[in-house]
Amino acid sequence: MKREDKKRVTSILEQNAQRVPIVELAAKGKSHVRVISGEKAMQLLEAVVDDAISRRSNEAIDADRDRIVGEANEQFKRVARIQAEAESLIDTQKQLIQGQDQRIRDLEGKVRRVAASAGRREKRLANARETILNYDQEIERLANKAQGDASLIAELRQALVARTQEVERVQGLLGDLRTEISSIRDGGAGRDELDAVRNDMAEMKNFLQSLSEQNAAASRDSIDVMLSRLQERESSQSVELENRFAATMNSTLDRISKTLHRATAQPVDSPIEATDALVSRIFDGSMEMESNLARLDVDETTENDGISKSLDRLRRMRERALSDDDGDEETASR
Amino acid sequence: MSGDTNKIEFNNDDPMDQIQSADLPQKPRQTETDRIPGKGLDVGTANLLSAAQTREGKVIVKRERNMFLEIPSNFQRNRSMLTKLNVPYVSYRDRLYVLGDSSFNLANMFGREVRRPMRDGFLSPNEQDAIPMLRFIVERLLGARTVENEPVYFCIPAASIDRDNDTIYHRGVVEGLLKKLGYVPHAINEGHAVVYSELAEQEFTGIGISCGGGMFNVCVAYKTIPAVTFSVSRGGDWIDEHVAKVMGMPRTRATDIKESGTNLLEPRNREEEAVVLYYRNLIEYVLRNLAQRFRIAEDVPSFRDPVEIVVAGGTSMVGGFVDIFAEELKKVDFPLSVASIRRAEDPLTSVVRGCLIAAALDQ
Repeated sequence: MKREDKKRVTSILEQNAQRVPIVELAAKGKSHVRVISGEKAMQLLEAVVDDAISRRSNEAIDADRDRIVGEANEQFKRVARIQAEAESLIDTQKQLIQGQDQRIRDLEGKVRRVAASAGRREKRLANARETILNYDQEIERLANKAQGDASLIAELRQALVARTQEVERVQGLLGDLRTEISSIRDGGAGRDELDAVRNDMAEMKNFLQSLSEQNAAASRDSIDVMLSRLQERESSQSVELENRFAATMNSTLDRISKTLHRATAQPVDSPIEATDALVSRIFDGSMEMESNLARLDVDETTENDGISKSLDRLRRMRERALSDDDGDEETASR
Repeated sequence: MSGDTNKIEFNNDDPMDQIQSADLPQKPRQTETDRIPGKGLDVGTANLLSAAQTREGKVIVKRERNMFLEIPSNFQRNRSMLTKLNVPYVSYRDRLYVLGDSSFNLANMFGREVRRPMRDGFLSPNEQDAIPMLRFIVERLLGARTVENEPVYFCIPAASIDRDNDTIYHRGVVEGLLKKLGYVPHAINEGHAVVYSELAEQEFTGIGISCGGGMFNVCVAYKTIPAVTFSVSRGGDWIDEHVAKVMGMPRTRATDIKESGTNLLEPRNREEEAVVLYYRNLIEYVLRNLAQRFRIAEDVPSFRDPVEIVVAGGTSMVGGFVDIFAEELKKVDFPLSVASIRRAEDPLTSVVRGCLIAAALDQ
């Protein structure tokens, strides 16, 4: 309590207190009295006042509290509602975001697929470009070859022109000669010369004849000698000559017979031999063939049932047939 | 937000990516030492098949389409690419040929026609490159010999009743080809091979019909003995040719339609209806000729009991074939009593298994 307040309360107590002597109190029959100090009284007053104030304030606080609690409840409900609305909004937003995420993922996947497809297309394009390049190179090679052929043709043409000119020139010369010869024949300018040549040739002939008559006698003797020598040789060489003659005749006959044989040949009787020859020719080692068959597997299927049933039955039937045949033979032999 | 943005995903359907990926694991192969000597070879117009038996009694069958396709020569530089794609090729006379199934697939993709070494069941005389291509395909199918002079039983068609064809050249070339590969060839009638593989329960008595690409081969057998054999020169190719003509498409496309789940009893579109039409016509043609052959032949055995008819071959694999066959049989005055008509359990391999049975029986 403040000093001013204490002073005021003290003055109020003094104003309302009564001074009574002790003897008077005893005369009134009071033997005992409660004595309280001013300070204590002040303390009590302070306690009562505080108590009153706090009771009153508690009452006020309770009312306020109730009011405040009510207001707080209302506020709380409002806030909770807002909170709930906010949360549902947040959920909705989250779902939207998730949907967007999924879409983004899908788009990313699509982008990757498109990129991969574009990569493959690039490769195919590169292969196609390479093929086109090869074609271009081939075309260029063929063009060069054609150009070379064209230049060769041009050279041949030039050569042909030159030869044609040469032929014409020779033909011209020939024509000139013919003209000259015909003029000589007609003009008779060379006739004397011709006659002179003829006379020379006649003289030469006579001379050769005389020579031959002179040599005839001499050669007659040498011929006789040669004949005698031939006769001698004949006897020794007759065998050799016969052999040679026989060999010549045989080879000639062989040739004739082969020619006749070819002319009159009959078709091959055995078709298998003919087709063997055909197949051999086809698969002759001179034919170059390359394949990748040795590096590849052939798809095969396995049948577990197999052929054993049919095979067993066939074998049994065959054995039966054979044993029946043996029985028949025994019967026949008896 | 998103995952790892640095990761790049490849589209595994693109073959270019497959080439650049890690090497494919090699599947274990059965060696030739696992096999019993003796092989079967079905030399068909549309398909070539080989069969061999393992020591455990299983049958290994390999198949390849009997066709090839010439591809542009600029692919000569990309031969390694073809090997990586498991495409068999042959480089011959400065030209490049793709063989077998791969040629069929390529032809379909580019809208081109394949070339066929055989036509109507026989080697095609118009195909000069046929024999070397056939040799490579056969070599690929037969593989290495199991033993020296290993026997191979190959099927040959019977003489046709509606065409004058000569089996001598065809048989001679195939035999020569097999000899060149080091085998000892033996021929067996195609219909008879079907009897061997499908009529064991009936004591190999009945009618076996091989419905191939080039022709239908018929064999009437009595206790393994072929009593009547003949062929008609129409087959799956005839159907493809006519369907392609009326529908205005390449033949390979018509083949593809026929082999892609068509059911003769329930055609789904105009193209399949055309296929049904020609199938019925072909079956009726075969049955009429078969009936006539029975009536005029003197060597037809008399069967006490009704006989079973078995059909095999790629052309019989279409859905509803047996039903259509039974329907058409009723329309024809057939001289034999028929117990049942059925299709081989595996029509595509019936002939080659019959050839293998003949080869195994020979051992």
